[in-house]
Amino acid sequence: MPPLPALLITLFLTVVLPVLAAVVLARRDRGCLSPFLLGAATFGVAQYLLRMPLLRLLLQESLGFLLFSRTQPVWYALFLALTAALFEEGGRYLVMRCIMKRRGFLDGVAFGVGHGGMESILLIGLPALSLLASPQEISGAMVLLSGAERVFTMVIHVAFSVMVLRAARRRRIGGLLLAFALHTALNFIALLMQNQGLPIYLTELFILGFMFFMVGYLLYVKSKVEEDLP
Amino acid sequence: MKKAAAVTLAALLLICSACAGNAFEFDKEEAVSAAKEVAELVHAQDYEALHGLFREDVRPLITAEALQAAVQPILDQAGAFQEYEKADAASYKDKQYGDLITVALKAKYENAALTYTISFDRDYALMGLYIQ
Repeated sequence: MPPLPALLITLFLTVVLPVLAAVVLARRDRGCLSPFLLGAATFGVAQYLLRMPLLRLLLQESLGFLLFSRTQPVWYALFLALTAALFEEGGRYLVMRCIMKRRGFLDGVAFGVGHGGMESILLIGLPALSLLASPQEISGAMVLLSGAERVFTMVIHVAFSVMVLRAARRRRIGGLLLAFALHTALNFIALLMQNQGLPIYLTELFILGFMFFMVGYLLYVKSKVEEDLP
Repeated sequence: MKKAAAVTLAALLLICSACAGNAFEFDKEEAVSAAKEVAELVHAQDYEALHGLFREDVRPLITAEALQAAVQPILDQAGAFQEYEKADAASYKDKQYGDLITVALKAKYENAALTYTISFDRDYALMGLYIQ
């Protein structure tokens, strides 16, 4: 088991924080609960019910694909990045266009918290919980780093959600394409950095930098929304 | 939606596969045959001989005991070997180990199907073994 304080902090960051963020948003505006849940469901369907089973099936059934994954790490990283962006941004756009009724700035934020929060709970929170009973020695720094990364990506998901929501509201595909391209670039570069054997903290620094870039976008959109108010 | 997702995934796969050719020419049949020899040693549970197949610089990275500890539970669960179902191979350049040939070999067992991913250098010295 990793050191208990590191594990508890990571559980707080990956499980409690997304729920807490949803509660804060719902207290400010009860209507935010619906986009939050839709965001969570979108990640669940796009990744857990569609993309991941399809990738698993391909790896099991196609020897060509298995060889591709083992012998072409750069192309495979690009394939993983493209499919993640396609399923997540595509799913986001479809849900926002077809199901989501409220499309304000705060609704986009709530959707992103749901999407990123669900990813954080499923990818790190639940596995971290299982570490409580694990005899394996895992570095506390690594556990903390994975928790911090989920906070960065949750903020990035909020920005992508606001970007795609603006595209869905205006029926313009540009925002969706931009989100798709940025999502692909983020995943591809992070995967490449890992493939090249660079220290993990450099990858996390890159994700942190990307998060600040996206926070800049969020602040810009927020200022535009406030300008538009009567 | 599921259908559209599958079609899109397949199209992306095709594009990526088209971009990824073999790094150098090699005899696919010879590679598959070498991979089957490795699998036969696994079936015979001869971990010392299997360990001996690894190239000299890779051999110290693993022990016969570690091989047994990793492979035996998978074999026990899969049951008796029945037949090889299909195989494919590709060559590539590895940053650390240079020119490598990797064979994917699917084998049918009593209770499961296992896929071996076996890597060799150009002289067919074993460089890697992965069973799933």
